[in-house]
Amino acid sequence: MAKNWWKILSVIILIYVLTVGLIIEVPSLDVLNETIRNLFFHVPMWFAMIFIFLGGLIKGIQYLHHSNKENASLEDVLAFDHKSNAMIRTGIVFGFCGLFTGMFWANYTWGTYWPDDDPKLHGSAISLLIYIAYLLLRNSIKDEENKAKIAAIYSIFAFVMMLVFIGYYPRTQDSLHPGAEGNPGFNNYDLDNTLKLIFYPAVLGWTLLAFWIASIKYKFYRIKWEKENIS
Amino acid sequence: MGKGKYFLIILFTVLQWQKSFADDVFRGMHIDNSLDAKSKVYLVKDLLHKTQALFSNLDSTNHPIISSIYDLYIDSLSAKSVLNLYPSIHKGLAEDYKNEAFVTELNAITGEKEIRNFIVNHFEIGQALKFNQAIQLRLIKSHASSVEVDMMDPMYKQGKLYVVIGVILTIFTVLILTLIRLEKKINQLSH
Repeated sequence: MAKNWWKILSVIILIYVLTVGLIIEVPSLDVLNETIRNLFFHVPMWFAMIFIFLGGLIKGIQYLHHSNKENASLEDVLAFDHKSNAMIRTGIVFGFCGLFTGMFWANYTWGTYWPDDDPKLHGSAISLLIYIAYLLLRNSIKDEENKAKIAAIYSIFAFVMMLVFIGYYPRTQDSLHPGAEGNPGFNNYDLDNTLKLIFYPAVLGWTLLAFWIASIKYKFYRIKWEKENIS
Repeated sequence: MGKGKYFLIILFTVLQWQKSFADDVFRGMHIDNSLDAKSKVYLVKDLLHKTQALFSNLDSTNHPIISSIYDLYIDSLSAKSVLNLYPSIHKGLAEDYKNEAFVTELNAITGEKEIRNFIVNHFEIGQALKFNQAIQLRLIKSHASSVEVDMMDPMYKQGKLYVVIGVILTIFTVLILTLIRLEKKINQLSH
């Protein structure tokens, strides 16, 4: 129970977000109106994706670092790769969740599921495609160590490109998203701090859930590997 | 596939029902459904006039044609189509207004027919979204509507929102229980 405190915390936080987030009074803003409640789902899911991709990147770098050590066992070294793989796969799922919640939101506020000229949407879609290519890359290599090495290197590239496509590039262009081209950032929407009460816990809750799912995936990959290699 | 098939069917049905529910809940929230059509049009016009005032502040000229365009555009549409098109009504106008050729064209308008053609030629969705967002956000900062809009949809008051929350919590509970079950199984296998 003590080891799983963070899982219990994520459940409590998400129950809070799902209930209070839909009931609480939100600022009454033109165009957004009640759809602003999607802020508690759409944006935190993207944050969770970024954090878990970062985790995948760190594990990939750790694999590269430890794989060169002479006295490192294959089992221990590949554990980093399995963790990286699990985190990145989970991140992709959360990315799609962020994408779909965003499309749902866009339909009600911008009048279309996918506006043609918003760079952040295109950037996020490209980022996800880059990470899907990570999965294809892994599946195309049979040798475990080569697979792990190449996947780790690719994950560095993928993470940097994700930051560029989602974080940097949209801010340099016209965008419908907050924080670009004269649109205020999110703190300007929060006129009475009500949203912050739900938003920040939601980021934590969804992130913890993402890491929980990744931890289960990792254990699954571990058992599968042990079954194939040790027995 | 077995039990999974039934789970998927149930999940799909629930999601479809919830989606139509969400459609009612969220679509009604653009403007309170309890307002009659005339009030809704008044509200939209009110917001448009405020936008026009802001628009004229963006650029030092307050072009008389602009207000005519708005009035003609609004009056020529039904309340429902006004509401549907509301996000798109300011399509590209302010950005275009900085363009000399656009202003020349605007100044050449002398009649109703030309105004209608002007609206058709210039009101494109792509530009609308860009301009609309910037204007809307400026409106957010300065907006004080003369018509009080009750943002709580009647469905909230009837308690149907709690049904929606119940469904969402049920789906979430199923997800968490699945995760717990998977974790237990994996822990058993690893030991």
